[in-house]
Amino acid sequence: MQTPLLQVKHISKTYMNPKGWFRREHVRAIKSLSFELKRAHTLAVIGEAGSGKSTLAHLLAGEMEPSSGDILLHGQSLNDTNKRQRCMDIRLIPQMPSLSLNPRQRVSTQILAPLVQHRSITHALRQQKLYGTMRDVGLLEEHANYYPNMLSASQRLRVTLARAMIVDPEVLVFDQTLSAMDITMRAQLINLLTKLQQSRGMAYVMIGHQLSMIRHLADHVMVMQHGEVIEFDQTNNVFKAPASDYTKRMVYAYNELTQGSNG
Amino acid sequence: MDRNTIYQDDAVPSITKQVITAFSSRGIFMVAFWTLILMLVVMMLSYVLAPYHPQHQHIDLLLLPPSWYDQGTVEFFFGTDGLGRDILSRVISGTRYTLGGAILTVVISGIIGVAIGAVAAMLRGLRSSILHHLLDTILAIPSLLLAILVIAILGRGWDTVLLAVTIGLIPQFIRVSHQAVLAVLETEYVRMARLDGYTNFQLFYRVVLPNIAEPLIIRFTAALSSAVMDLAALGFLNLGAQAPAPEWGSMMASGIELLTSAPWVITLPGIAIFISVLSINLVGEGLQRSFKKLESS
Ligand SMILES: Nc1ncnc2c1ncn2[C@@H]1O[C@H](COP(=O)(O)OP(=O)(O)O)[C@@H](O)[C@H]1O
Ligand SMILES: [Mg+2]
Repeated sequence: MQTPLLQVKHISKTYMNPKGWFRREHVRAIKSLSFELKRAHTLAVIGEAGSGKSTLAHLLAGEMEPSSGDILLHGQSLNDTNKRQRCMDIRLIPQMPSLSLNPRQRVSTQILAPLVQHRSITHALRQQKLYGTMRDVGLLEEHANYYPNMLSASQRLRVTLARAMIVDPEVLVFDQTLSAMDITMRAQLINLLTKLQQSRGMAYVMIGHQLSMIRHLADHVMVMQHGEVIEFDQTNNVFKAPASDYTKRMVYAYNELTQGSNG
Repeated sequence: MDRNTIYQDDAVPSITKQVITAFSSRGIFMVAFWTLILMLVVMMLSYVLAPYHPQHQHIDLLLLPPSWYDQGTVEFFFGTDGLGRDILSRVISGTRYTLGGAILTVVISGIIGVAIGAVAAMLRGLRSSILHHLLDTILAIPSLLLAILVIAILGRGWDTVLLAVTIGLIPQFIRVSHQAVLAVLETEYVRMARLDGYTNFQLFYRVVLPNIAEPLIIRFTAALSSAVMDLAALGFLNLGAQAPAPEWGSMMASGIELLTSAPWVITLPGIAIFISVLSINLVGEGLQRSFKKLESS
């Protein structure tokens, strides 16, 4: 059998908060979490606030190391030794695209930042890559010289997408990126992401999104609670027969809502 | 594609250009700016521009009134003081002391203060929290009082006063840069820049610095006007520049007994202080508004 693109094996994460002068408070944000993700597939991660979803995003994106366990890409363990490459292979799309752009830097500089840092490629090639990626995410060439405040919210999101994709990553992690978006923007984005996934074969980890998005995009759904996985199934099954209480409530509310708006 | 980039650079001006454009669109700020430039030119050419040596005493022409009085002469346009020295020449030479001294102290304290504040913010941790409490204490003391404390220890004199004012200004710069850098480091765009692989140096140079430019520039102009006033005040209190030096504050002090009989001795240096402080403040205000405009566009 082919090894899956991304394998997460029993990772855990314990935060140690200094509390007072000498004591420390241990917060076990993730307790032994495992899953696999295939190329061009999408995994949705849902769960209550504080269930450890963002922590999972940090761990995947390489912002911090798990306290124990392994994250493997193409069967290869990711750790400190290949940290730089790993930050290029698994890219994070932050929650607030507008806040994640430097207001004092031109769009082109920010999209190119990861390339400039990591690869010694020629100027011409870099420009070609810049405009190619911008076109893929639906930006115009002239946007390259804009500053972020000259763009609309949806264009800023596209800039963060382009910045993530310019290094040809294999996995994109969305940490609640789309939850704050209005419906038209979300619809546009679902189309864009589906298209990009087909053309580039990227895998998505979509954290904390509305069920309507999940239904359109996700192949699997993982439900977290208190740092543990309480449900993991194909999207269809989750919608047809939710297992955990949390999911039941979500699906029930979702059905009420969609049927209400239909009828 | 490269050709495109060149065209588009013109279409979207850089942040610096946008600020300059916004600044120059307001008449009053431009007037203040050019007044300041004029004063700087006078400062640099003061040896050439002053009609007489500032220390030369025209013994037979004591307390000559300005030229528009009946007894005044055009040769001594703003009159002479109690020792027969030409007031215009002294005010012109005084730019080197009051304005030049202020610029010197602000540049030195700015470099030191910003360096300390920025490094402390980048290092974080315990040291930075100690710094914070220390600064809060020191900043409760006005810079002038702090300068007087230093003078009390080191004695009076022009060199000491420069040192004292420099030391008095450093805490503000530490605080502003420390806070600004900390605020920027907490932003999402710094987090993303880290993930993009920026090294600490690149992070500081390309992400942090452009984003703290605004509070720093505004602090520099505020410090400049307060340095002018501190130097003049210390000169007036006879703690700073000593007797013959044409420092504006000490010129005013020496004219104080003559206030009723020869008001011009004290008026002209006073006006010089007023105009320089006003134009510096206006330039600062203009820059502040130009940056604000940037945010809202
Ligand atoms: N930097 C941190 N330091 C300490 N505790 C943290 C930190 N980040 C998150 N936590 C704790 O870890 C748990 C999981 O948080 P998080 O991953 O943000 O959950 P979610 O994104 O699902 O809301 C929470 O109890 C939170 O308080
Ligand atoms: Mg979260």
